Amino acid sequence: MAYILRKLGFLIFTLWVAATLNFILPRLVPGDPVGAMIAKYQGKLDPSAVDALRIAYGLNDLGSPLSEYVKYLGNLLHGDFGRSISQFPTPVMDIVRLAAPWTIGLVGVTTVLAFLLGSALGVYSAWRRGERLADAMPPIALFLNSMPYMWVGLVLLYLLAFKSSVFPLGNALDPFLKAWTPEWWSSMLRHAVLPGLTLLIVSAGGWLITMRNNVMSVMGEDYIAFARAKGLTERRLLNRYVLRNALLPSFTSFGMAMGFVVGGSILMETVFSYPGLGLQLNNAVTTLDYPLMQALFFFIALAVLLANFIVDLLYVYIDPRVRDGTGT
Amino acid sequence: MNGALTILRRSPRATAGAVIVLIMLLMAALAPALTSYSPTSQEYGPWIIPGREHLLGTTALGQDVWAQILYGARKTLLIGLMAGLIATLIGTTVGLAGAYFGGRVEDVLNVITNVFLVLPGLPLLIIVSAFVRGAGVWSIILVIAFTGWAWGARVIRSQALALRNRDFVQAAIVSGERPGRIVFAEMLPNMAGLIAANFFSTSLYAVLSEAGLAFLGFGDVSSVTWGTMLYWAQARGALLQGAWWWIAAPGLLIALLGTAFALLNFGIDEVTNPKIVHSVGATKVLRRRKKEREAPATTGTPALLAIRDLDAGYATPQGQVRAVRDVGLDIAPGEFVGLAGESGCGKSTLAFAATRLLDAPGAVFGGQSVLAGQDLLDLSSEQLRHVRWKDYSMVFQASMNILNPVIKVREQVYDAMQAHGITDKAALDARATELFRLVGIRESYLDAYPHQLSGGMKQRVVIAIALALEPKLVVMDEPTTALDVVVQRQILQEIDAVRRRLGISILFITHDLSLLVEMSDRIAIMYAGEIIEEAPAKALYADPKHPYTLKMMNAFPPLDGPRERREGIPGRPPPLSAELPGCPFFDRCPSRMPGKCDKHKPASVDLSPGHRVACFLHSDAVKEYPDAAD
Amino acid sequence: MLPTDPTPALELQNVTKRFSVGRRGATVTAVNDMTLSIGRGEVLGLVGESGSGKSTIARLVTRLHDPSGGEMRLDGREVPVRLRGRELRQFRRNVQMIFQDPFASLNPLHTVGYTVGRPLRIHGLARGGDVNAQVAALLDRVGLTPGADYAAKRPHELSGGQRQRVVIARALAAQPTLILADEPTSALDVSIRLDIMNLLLDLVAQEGLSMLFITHDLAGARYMSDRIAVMYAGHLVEIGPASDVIGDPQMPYTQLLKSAAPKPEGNLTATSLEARGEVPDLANLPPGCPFEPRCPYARAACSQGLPQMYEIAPGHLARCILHDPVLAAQPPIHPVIAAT
Repeated sequence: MAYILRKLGFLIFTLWVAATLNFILPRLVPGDPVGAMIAKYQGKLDPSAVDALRIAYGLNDLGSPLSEYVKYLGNLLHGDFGRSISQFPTPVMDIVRLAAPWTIGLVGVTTVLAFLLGSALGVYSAWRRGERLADAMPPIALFLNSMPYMWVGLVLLYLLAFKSSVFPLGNALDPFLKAWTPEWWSSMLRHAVLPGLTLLIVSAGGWLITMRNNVMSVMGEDYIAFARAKGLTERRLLNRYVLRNALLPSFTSFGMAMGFVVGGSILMETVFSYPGLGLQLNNAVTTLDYPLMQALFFFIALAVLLANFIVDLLYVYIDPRVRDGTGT
Repeated sequence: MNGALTILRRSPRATAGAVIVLIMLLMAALAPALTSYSPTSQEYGPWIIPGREHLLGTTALGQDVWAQILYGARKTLLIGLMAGLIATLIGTTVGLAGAYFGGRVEDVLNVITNVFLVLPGLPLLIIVSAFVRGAGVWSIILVIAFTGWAWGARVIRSQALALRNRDFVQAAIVSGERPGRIVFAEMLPNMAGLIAANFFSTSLYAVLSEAGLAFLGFGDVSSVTWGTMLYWAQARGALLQGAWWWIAAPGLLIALLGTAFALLNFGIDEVTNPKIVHSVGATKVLRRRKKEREAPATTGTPALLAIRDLDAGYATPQGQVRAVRDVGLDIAPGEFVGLAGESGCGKSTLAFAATRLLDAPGAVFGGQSVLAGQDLLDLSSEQLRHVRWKDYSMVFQASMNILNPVIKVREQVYDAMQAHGITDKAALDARATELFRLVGIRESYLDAYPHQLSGGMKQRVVIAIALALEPKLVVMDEPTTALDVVVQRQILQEIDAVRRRLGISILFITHDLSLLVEMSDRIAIMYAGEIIEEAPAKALYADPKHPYTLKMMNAFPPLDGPRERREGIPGRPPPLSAELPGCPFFDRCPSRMPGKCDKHKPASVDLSPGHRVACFLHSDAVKEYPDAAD
Repeated sequence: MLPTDPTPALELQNVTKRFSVGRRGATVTAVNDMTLSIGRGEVLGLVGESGSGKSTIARLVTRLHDPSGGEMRLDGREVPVRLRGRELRQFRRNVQMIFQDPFASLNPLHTVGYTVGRPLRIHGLARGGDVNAQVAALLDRVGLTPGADYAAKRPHELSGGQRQRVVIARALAAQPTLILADEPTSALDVSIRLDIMNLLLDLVAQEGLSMLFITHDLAGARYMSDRIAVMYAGHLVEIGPASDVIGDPQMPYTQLLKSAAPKPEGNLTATSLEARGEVPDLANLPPGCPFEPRCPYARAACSQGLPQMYEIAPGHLARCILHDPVLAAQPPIHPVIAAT
């Protein structure tokens, strides 16, 4: 219980750091960013959009930075992130609400798939080390894991959409489909294949290496030698002794891996014009839509932190030492 | 520097990585010599397919792709290496500071590190670079380093913490070293491998981050890097024009550079942090030397375990190390045989080789190990799996990790029995309860996890598991050495009671001769891979024949009697890689006879029933080598 | 050998060390109200099982840990609770430590000469080329001859016994008055333990050093020490001349330790242990005598507060109410333990 509370406390603290970064960064920009932006939009900017900008920069309120900060956090707690500038006057939250399911669905599913596939191959590579296929895996995995996401996306796009048009070139859906109909589902899935494959290919390589290392170090443990001496079958040894223990360190590196995949999804969404948080973030940055940018960063961080928190809860279930508060 | 060479020599993977990085550095340095085109000039005509004129074709703007690749290597490498370096510096400083200062400082640094670890890197980078828009190379480097140091800080901190508690660091502190020297002269050099590995993994992160940022149009897209090349290719619709080369080349090179960094990181980890994988199915038997020999006439009853002419050891790249040399040993049914010797004398190798539990690179080179009429060295690993635990079992040296930490004790007691055909739930439960009573643990501990048991209780569980199938023989390798004396004595008494009740034979291995004398029926003394004396325990204690045994008996200070000065045995045993023509104890022996003992090997001779010794002081018999005649 | 100079080399008075465990502010008391002294030229053996606090004593005296309470005097001079900087270095010159595992206590990357020479340089005992000469002399002194040859070697080229000699040379280099030897032989092979013990005894005799010899081995303590102190769960439970404490132990725990020690002339099944169970968890100590739950002679009074130290013979003290004529008359409360 203390463990879970500690993890929850950390989640809230990190969210607070993310929010504070959001608050500080715009205020560090030298010069008059609002003026620069008004100039950029060459007077096409709605006066209330200018106000929205001023709010984002804290230029509307001449109170102390501290009172501004308190007000900012208050708004945040009420889910009020202001209005988008590039899509004025849409509230930022509406844009996030539309984009989030696409990213969360795609990244969530592919992360689980990549974890399962990569880990399975990693176990195979460690368990059968010495065999040609098993030993060839790590270098290949290192290569796959080093490929830039957008490049993989572009290559897949070129081969499977542009050259052979097996899959669509971009977007998440064909136009004018009624939601939840069979056509909608098939269109949604066809559009998701290449983006998902991009994330899967790159991140599975990382899990392979992690899992292989974990299995190798577990195999050196005394309890494995003892279990083998007991005459257990290889299958039981693998399932109950090696796997259970080798999975634990993978869980602790999940947070970082999650960050990489989310970063990758931004690049992937840009390549495939996939209407998720990443594409919105890219748009927000190119149009200097600061309120939207702040909200997107906040929610991406929130999603990653929640995923981490879920993994921490699973950890309690898997490792009895954590349950008792004695381990790690 | 030496360390780096060692890593390259031992890890082909690291070498491959180093070669790729080197080639790319050369490409960057020699760019003007490798192409006559300018990377920025737009005069070569758009969309030219790769060919003689333009090796990798041209861009939509009419730039030469090969020239861009060569010149782009400069900034790409600069950003990757510099950001990697700065991130490693930050990570090392934070990690070391946390580990060294401890307390509040460590807590604060820890929280900061963890926050940076879970805050998603690229989105943060994008946000930050949005505010340093149009920034130059150095801003990009700093921004990437700022988001990429945390993982390094975490691993360096954990290794520094381990190092800080190492005795040599404590010893330096006690001798009065200042903190700076502790960190820089004692701790840091021992972390070089880890820091280098970290540098390469952050460089990988930096290269990929730069490419991602450039692709999204951040940073200075007018400068040429492999990342900005991808940006322009995407922006100018290279895909729709079918200009695959414009996309393929920079992306492939980024992936290769990343792979090179990853290989270096992987290779360093492989060498500095070797994952010694023991635990193989069954010990390899390299060469069988079958000889039919009758059992020695000294024992009346046929032996339960008869080890004959066993040769075993380790196959290393430098050749075979014969840790067990032509050893014979019998264990009668119900007998408690003690095997004593110093570290590195081959006693554990003997026990593990005879039971086929010696892990690679260990191997049996020759001999026999006959358990109840069946030579264990003849069995396949599947046959062995059935014999193990049923006919003989093992108790390993007590260790924290002897039981699987994530499953309950009950399951670990059950599965030994299940593996040998006992599947009835009630039978399993009854037997487990009975076993726990036998070794003196409350049966409620069956439902505990290993971490809830003390070291002594864990070892009792291990002994209970070893007795589960009532094997005829239990091999115990220093089962109580790591335990406190009182617990040790309690467990030994329980072992003794159980083996008498069940009539089990025990081969008990330890360095503690005084303990063995008390417990054993018979004792064998090993030295440098050979059994030099073997006798009933009381006879060995009362009248040791071999000078080594005699010296060892006197090497323990007594608990009573006069307090007088005693002497140890000067010198050290010969290395097991050496082949000695004579007696292995010659160098340290107070009664040695030069010209005899160092030239010929004494044969093991019966001096009285069951008391055998290999020493020229007692018999002139020279050991014969059956092999030499073959 | 009895101390001739009345000022002890080291005096601990009511020294206590608490460690915090976990995050909820819980503490364990590793060393509890420890009072003892080591005379000039004396070897005091400190005996106990793991978790008894014996190693913590060494770490308190060398100030690897700061004590939580109590006083400490070195050569009659008060040592402040918090020592830092120059004062700490000066203090450490006088107090050196020998660690248990010679494979862990030498930095694998440094040569023997560097390791042994550092204390000379730190404390300004030698300069320039003089350092090498002194290092060679120190190595000769601990039996690594010729010292100059050994100075160029690195730890991996040496055997366990040789490494431990290097560790001893390093401790001697600072010219300390007190040496704390924390199980200096238990990681070594049996055949060389005596040589290391003899070396330590010779150094004590010839250099006039005082020594705290920490061990779990009663026989080793008897071989090395003038007096022996026994610790259990952070408490001093018995102290006295070595031959008295081992020959005629007065605290049931010491008796248990003695009966558990290996005796080649004995018989495993014949010598029954007088107590069962294991060392209690330091976080959950019983209210009175820490040994009470395991003690076959325990009386009701044992759980009502920590017994005092009773003087049985001159200089031989034991923390056990059996030496109090009134309390000892109470009936035993754990007759069952004694029977098993």
